[in-house]
Order: sequence, then C-alpha cells, then structure tokens
Amino acid sequence: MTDADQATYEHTADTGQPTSNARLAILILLGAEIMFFAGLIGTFLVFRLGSVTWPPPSQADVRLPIGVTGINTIVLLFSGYTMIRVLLSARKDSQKELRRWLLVTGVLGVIFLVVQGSEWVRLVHHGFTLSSGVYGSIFYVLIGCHALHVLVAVVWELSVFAKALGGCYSIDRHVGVEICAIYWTFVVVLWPILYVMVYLV
Amino acid sequence: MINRYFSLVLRVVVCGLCVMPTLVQACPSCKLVDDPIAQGFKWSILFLMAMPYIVFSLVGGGVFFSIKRVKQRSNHESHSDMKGV
Repeated sequence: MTDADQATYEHTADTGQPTSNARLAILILLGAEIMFFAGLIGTFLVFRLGSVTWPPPSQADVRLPIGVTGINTIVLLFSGYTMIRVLLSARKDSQKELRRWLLVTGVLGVIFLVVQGSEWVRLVHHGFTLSSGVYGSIFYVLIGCHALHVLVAVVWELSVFAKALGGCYSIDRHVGVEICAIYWTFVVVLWPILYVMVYLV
Repeated sequence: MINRYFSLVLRVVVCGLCVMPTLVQACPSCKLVDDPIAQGFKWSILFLMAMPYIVFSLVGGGVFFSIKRVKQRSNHESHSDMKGV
C-alpha cells in the first residue's frame, strides 16, 4: 500500500467515510473467523456432551498439560494487555513506547507458540496423535487452528514492529497498528474459552 | 374448485400429522431426550444458532463505536479550530 492509499484509509473524516475500510474489513474478517471457530466448538460440543465419559475410555491414560498451559494462558493474556499499551502509545504518538510494547507483545506471542509446540511434541511422543480417535482429532484440530491463528498474529505483529522501527506510524496514521491490535485481541480472547473447554471441563 | 381441493388436502395432512405425531418429530433431540448424543447435538445446535446474532452484534458494535469515535474526534477538532479563531 502506498502512502497516499494509507492516508486515504486513515483520514476518514476528510473523505466523508464514517469509518476506515481497513477497520471495517478486519471486523468482517473477524466475523468469519468467529463462525469458523464456532463450527469447531460446535463439533467439540457434540463429541464432549455425547460421551458419557471424557476423555473416551480408549484415551483415558492421556493427561493434558493443564498447569503449563495455564501459565501459557497467563502469558497470552498479558500479551493482550501489552497490545493495549501498544495502541495507547500509538494514539499518544509515543514512538519509543510503541516500539517497546510491540517488541514485548511479539516476544510473548513467540513464547506462547514455543511452549505450545513443545507440549505438542511431548504429547506426540506419548502416543497421543491426530489419529488417536475423536479425542485426539478434536484436540489437535481445535488447538492447532488457534495456534495457527496465533502464528499469523505474531508474523503480522512483527511486520508492524518492523514498520514502527522505520517510523511509519504517527498520531494521525496508525490504522495498521489498530487492525493488528484488533486481530491480536481476538486471538487472546478466544484462547481462555478453548483452554477451559478442552483442558479443564 | 382448486381452493376447495387444496383446503381438503391440507386438512387431511394436518389431521394425519396430529394422529401420527412421531412423523413430525424429525429432530433427534425430540426423539431421544435422555440420549447423550442427542444432548450434544441439541447444545451444539443452540450454540451455533446464537453465533450469527453474536457476530452481527460484535461487528455492528465495532462499526458503531468506530463511527462514534471519528465523530467525537471531528467535533473536538472543530471546537479547537473555533477556539483558535
């Protein structure tokens, strides 16, 4: 996107648009994402409530890493807080704070992914794979789709960080930071729901 | 003539369904109330039925507050301009 295009997106008041196209687009994208995860959660509900015992007897020996993932949940929730600080820094035009909080948020996202990945490796070594019946399928598909979304959010966030290092954002031009923050918030808010459903209930 | 014939067929169908209620119980939740699978489907259906309303509320709310913030900002700017004048 050229500077002129970005200016058109951001100076909505000048163009007479009530809201920027980018913000509207991310909201519609999130609507689609919510329906996608709703479908997966609906599938989980059918299997979970349809089973008398959960996990099913064939996977009764599988122990999900509740403690480590709980700490990981706190890490991701904290990244939601740091993303709010990113947004506030962009609105205050505080470039130094913007870069610092973007870096912290990115690092927290990477930590979440690394811990998730290492736990998955451990589970696979214990013989709990995608083909381990309904329990394995729904666990890896549901948690895997979320992890994929976190990965996309981290890559996006790091690209925003790279642009922030180049001084691309100002108090009037930070819609790129805003839509990234909206997506990040979605990923953060979704995770506790999945954690409680899949790991705790 | 056609209306009378249609009305007769409709009455027969309605009476038939009243006499054999199991025909209209197509939903597994109605047939198998205590079955866990039926319960799973029931809650899943209710959850998915609620989702479009939640999505529309969220997207609509997001657009609404976005517009509100832009308007507030433009009002604030116009007040600042007036003070400057």
